[in-house]
Amino acid sequence: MTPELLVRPGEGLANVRAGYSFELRDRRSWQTLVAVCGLMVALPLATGPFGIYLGCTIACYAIAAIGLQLMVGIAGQLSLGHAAFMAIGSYGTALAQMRLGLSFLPAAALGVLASAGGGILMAQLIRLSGVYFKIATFGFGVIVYQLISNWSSLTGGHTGLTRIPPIGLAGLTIQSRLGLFMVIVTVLVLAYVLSLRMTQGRAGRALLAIGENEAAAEAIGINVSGYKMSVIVFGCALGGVGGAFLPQLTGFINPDGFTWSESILLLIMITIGGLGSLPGAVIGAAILIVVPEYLRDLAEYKMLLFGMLLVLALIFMPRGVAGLANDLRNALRASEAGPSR
Amino acid sequence: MLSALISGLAIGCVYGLVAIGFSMVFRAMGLVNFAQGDILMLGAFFGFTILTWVPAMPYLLVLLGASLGAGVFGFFLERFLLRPAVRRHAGQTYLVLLTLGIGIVLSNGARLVWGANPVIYNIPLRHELVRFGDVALPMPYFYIVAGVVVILLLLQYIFTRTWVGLTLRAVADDPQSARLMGISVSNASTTAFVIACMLGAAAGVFYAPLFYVSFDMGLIGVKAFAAAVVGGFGNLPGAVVGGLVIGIAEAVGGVLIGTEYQDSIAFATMIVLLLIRPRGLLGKGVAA
Amino acid sequence: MSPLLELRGVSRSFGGLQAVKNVSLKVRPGSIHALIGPNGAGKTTTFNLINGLQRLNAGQVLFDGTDVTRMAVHARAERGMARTFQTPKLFENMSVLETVMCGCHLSGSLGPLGAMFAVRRKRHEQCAALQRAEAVLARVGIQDLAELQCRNLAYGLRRLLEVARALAMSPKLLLLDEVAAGLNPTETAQMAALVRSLAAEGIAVLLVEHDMAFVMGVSQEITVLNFGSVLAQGTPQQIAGNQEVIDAYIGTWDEEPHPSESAHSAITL
Repeated sequence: MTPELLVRPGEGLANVRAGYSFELRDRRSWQTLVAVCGLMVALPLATGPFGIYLGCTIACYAIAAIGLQLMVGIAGQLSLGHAAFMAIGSYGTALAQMRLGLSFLPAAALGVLASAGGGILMAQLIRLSGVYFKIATFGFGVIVYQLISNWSSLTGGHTGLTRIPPIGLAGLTIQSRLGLFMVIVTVLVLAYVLSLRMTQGRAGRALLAIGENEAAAEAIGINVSGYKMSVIVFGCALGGVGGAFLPQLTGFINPDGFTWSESILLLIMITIGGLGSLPGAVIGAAILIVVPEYLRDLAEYKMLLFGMLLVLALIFMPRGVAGLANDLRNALRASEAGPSR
Repeated sequence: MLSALISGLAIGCVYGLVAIGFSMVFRAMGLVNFAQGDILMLGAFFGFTILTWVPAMPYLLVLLGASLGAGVFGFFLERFLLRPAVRRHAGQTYLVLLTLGIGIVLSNGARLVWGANPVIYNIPLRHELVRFGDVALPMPYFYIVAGVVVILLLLQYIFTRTWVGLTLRAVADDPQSARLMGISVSNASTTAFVIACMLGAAAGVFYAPLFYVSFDMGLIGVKAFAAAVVGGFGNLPGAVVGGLVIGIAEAVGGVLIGTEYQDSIAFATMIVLLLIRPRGLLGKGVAA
Repeated sequence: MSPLLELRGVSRSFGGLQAVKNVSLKVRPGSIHALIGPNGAGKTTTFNLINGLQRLNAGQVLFDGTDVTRMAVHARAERGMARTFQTPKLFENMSVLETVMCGCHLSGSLGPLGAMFAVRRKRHEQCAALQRAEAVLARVGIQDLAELQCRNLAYGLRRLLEVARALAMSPKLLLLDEVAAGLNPTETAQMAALVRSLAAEGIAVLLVEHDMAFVMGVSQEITVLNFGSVLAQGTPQQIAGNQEVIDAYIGTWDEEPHPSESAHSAITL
C-alpha cells in the first residue's frame, strides 16, 4: 500500500506533477506577504510623522491579529478575550523594564512568556467543548481587565503606568518614531513569516482540518487537543508580542486600551480582512486603525459603526477583503487566459 | 453577609431568566446568541420609554409591554438577520461574530437613542421596603422571585401541554424527524427566539428598579451566559440553578474580596465549575 | 490466527437506554466482517466505542494485541484503526487532494515548530504526502477529481473520498459505517469491488450496513445485533438460514414502517 518514493529527498516538488492549486496558493501567499509588508513600510513613510505613528499602532495590532487569525480563522477556536493577551504583554514588558530594570529585549521576552503562560492557562479550557470555551475566553478577558484595573500596587490601577523607558538595543536607544517603526515592522514581518510557514504543510493542514471538522480530524490521527493547545499558546504569545511594543508608542499604558472593545476590534479586524487569511489580518488591522482616524468627528459613533461594519461584512462580504482580492485576481487571470478556458 | 446572599439570590434569578433564553435558543437553533444581554438592556429601555409616556403605568403592565416589544423586535431580528445565516449552514464562528455584531449595534444604538447617561425607573416600587423584624428587603426582590417562579411555571405549562411547546421540544431533540412529521423547523426557531427575547426583556425590567438602566447593561447578559453554562448549556432548569449559583458566588465574593472584582469572580466561578464538571452542574448540558 | 480486533463484553448505556449490551466479536486480519441489525440495534454506537468516539461503560476493546479501551481516538488511529462516518464528515473548504493529504498526517512527523523552521525536511515530507495522496486517489479511482472542492462533490463521490482519506492512513482495520447507503446500483457494485480488493491486500474491514445484497456478497463473517445484544454470529450462509435473524428482520418489515427511535423520543413527554 505504501507507494515507493519516486523522488529523492531534497529534489523538491520539481519532478512531481506540478501546478496543484494548493501549491499555487502557497506561492501566492509569499507574494502577498511581500506586497502587504511592502505597503506597510511604504505608506507610513510616505505620509509623514503621523503616518509613522499610525503605522506603529497598526503593526502592533497586526501582530496580535495574526495570532488571533491563527486561532480563530484557521483552527476555529474562537477567542473573545484576545485583548487580555496584549495587556499581559504590555504590562509585563513595561513592569519588567520599570520594576526589574531590564532592558527592552529581556523585558519583552518576559512579557511574551507571560502571555504564552496565559495562553497555556486558557488552553486548559479546551477540554470544554465549543460554546463553553468561547464564554470562558470572554471570562478570561474580563478577569485580566479587572486585575490590571484594580491591582493598583502592581499595575497602577486605572491610571496605569507612565514614563516607560524607551527601547535600548545594543547600546543605542531608539528615540525616534521612525526607529521604533522599523523595529516593530521587522517583528511583524518575522511573525508573519513564521505564521505563514506554520500554516503550510502538515501542521497547517492539521489546523485547517480541526477548524473544519474536529471529529474527522481526530479520526485520521490528528492529536486535536495537542494542536489546539499549540495554536492557542502561539496565538496568545503573538498577542503578547504586539502588546509588548504598545507602551513604546506613547510612553504610557492604562487599562482603557485593553477592554472588551479592543477584543471586539481584533475580531472585527480578522473578519473584515477575511477569516482564515493572514494578509487579511494585517489589512484588517490597517483598515480599523486608519479609518477611525479620518472619522474623528464621528468618534461617538465609532463602536456603532464598527458593529454595523461587522454585521454588514458578515452578510455581504463573508470572505473579507482578502476574499475579494482573491476573486479579483481569479477574474483577471481568467480573462487573461482567454475564452478557451 | 446575609444581605449579600439575598441580593445574590435576587440577581441570580435575573441571570436565570436570561440564561433560560440562551439555552432555549441554543437548543432550538444551535445558535449561541451573544446579543441576549443587549436584549435585556433593550427590554429595560422599552420599559423606561413606556414609563416616560405613561408615568402611572402599573409595573406589571410595563413588564408586559416591554416583553411584547422585545418579542416583536426579536421576530424581525431572527427573520431577517439570523435565519438566512443558519439556513446557509454558517459555521459557529460566523454565527457568534454575527450575534456579537448585532449586540454591539444594539448597545451603541441604544446609547444614541436614550443617551449615554444611566436612567432610572421613577416609580414608587424603587423605594418600597418589606420588613422582617429588623431586616428590610427591597420590594423588587419579591417581584423578581415571584416573577421568575410564575414564568417558570408558565414555561413548564407551555412545554408540556401546548402544541407550541411540544413542537419546540421536538425540534430541539431531533430536527430531522420533526421536519418529517410536518413541523416547520424555521417557525419553531422563530418562536424560540421570540420567547427568549421576551424573557430577556422581562429580566431587564426586573433588574431596572433595583439599580438603573444604561446602554452597557449587556454585561449582565454575558454573566447570564456563565449561568447558563454552569447549569449545563441547553438545560433549562440548570439555567436557573446556574443563575443562582453565579449570583450568590458573585455577591459573596464581592463581600469577601471586593466589589470591583465581582465580574471576575462570576467568571472564575464558572471556569472552575466547568473544569470540575464539564457538562454543567446538573450534568445534562449539551456539548456543543 | 489471533484476531486483529476483539470486543469483550462491551456495554454502553445512555440515561436509561442500554444501547449496547455485552457485545463480543472478533475480526481476523484481512477479513471482511459485517455488523448488521435492525434500526436502533446499536451498530453505530458499537462503532463509536471501537473507534473511541464514545467511552464504554463495561468491557474491553483489544486492537492488534493492545488494550485500547482507555485510548483516545487519535491514539487508536495511530495504531492503524481508520473509520468513515454514517454521514461523511469531509473538510468542505479543501480540495479532494488536500483532504487525502490530511489523511496522510500519520505518515509525517513535523509539528508546528518544525513547520516554521525545518525547511528541507518539510519539503521532503510535503513531497511524500503528495505522492502518497496521489497514489491513494488512483487506488480508489478518483485521481481526476483531485482539484475539486469537497463541497461540490456528488454524494457517491463524498463517500468514496472518505474511504480514500481513511486509506491514506495505511490502516490495518477499516471501519466503514453504512458506506453503501444512498449509492445507486453501479456505485454500490464499485464500492463492493473496492472493499474486496482492500481486504485482498490485507486490510481488515468491519462494516455496518443495511444493504443485505451488499453484505451477503462481500462479507466473510457477520455479527447480527438486535436491541444492543448479539443475536447471532457466523458466515453469511449460516446467518441467512438463522430463523431468529429472519424473525428480527422480517418482524420489522411486515409491520407499518414505524418511526425511528429518535423521532419517538421527541414526542415522548
